[in-house]
Amino acid sequence: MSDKIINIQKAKQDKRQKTGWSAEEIKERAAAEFDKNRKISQETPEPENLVSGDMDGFLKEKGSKDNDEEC
Amino acid sequence: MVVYSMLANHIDAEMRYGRLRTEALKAAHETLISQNITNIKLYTISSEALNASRLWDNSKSRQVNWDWFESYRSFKHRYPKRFEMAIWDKKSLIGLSMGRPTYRGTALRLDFVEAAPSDLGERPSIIEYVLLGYDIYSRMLNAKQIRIMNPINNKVLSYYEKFGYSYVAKGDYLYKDIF
Repeated sequence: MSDKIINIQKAKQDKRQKTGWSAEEIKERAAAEFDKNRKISQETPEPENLVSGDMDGFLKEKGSKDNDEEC
Repeated sequence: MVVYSMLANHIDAEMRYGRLRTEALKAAHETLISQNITNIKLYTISSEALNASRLWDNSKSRQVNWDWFESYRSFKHRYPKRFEMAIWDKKSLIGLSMGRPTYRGTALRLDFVEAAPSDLGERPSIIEYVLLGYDIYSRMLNAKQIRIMNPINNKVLSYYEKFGYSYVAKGDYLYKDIF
């Protein structure tokens, strides 16, 4: 991805952080992302029994981590 | 007194974020209907969904022996801001997922996802519906990123990468920025 595109995306993201998304924008973006993901999903077979997560680890944890932003 | 106040805050958060979860799933439904997808339904995790997940114990190909009853109860108790979804194809449960915002809310974690085991019957893929729900909820929370935690193996990791997610070994997750 070129630097110019990254800068535009970064600027858009910074603006979003200040204003948030309207309900209409959320629906528009959701529809666009869904279209994209559906195409990929149709072209790429799902691994047998798609699973991710560490449920055993979660059940052993006593509390949430204080700071998992940069984990 | 402090305990009552904490309890009140927890109940209040559960209600506020419960409304957001419902709104997110409603918006996801509207997206599906606009695409003429009427067989797939996305709901929060109900006792009906948890009961249906018990059938997965009969699978010989299931990758994990997760107890969704116990983990959902614990996750719900710990994280009122969580996101959760049960994916139904007509009357069959085809997937369950739970996640939560990170501590400061800059990212939405997809902590757990499990698709119905393939030897229990044919089903559509679930990933696009899972990502749809998380996409909407993350924007509602104004999170900057979605993180898929702990891919179970390299095949699953590579699969997520096809959807534009990048792997971070330190932390064992994949992320995608939200634009």
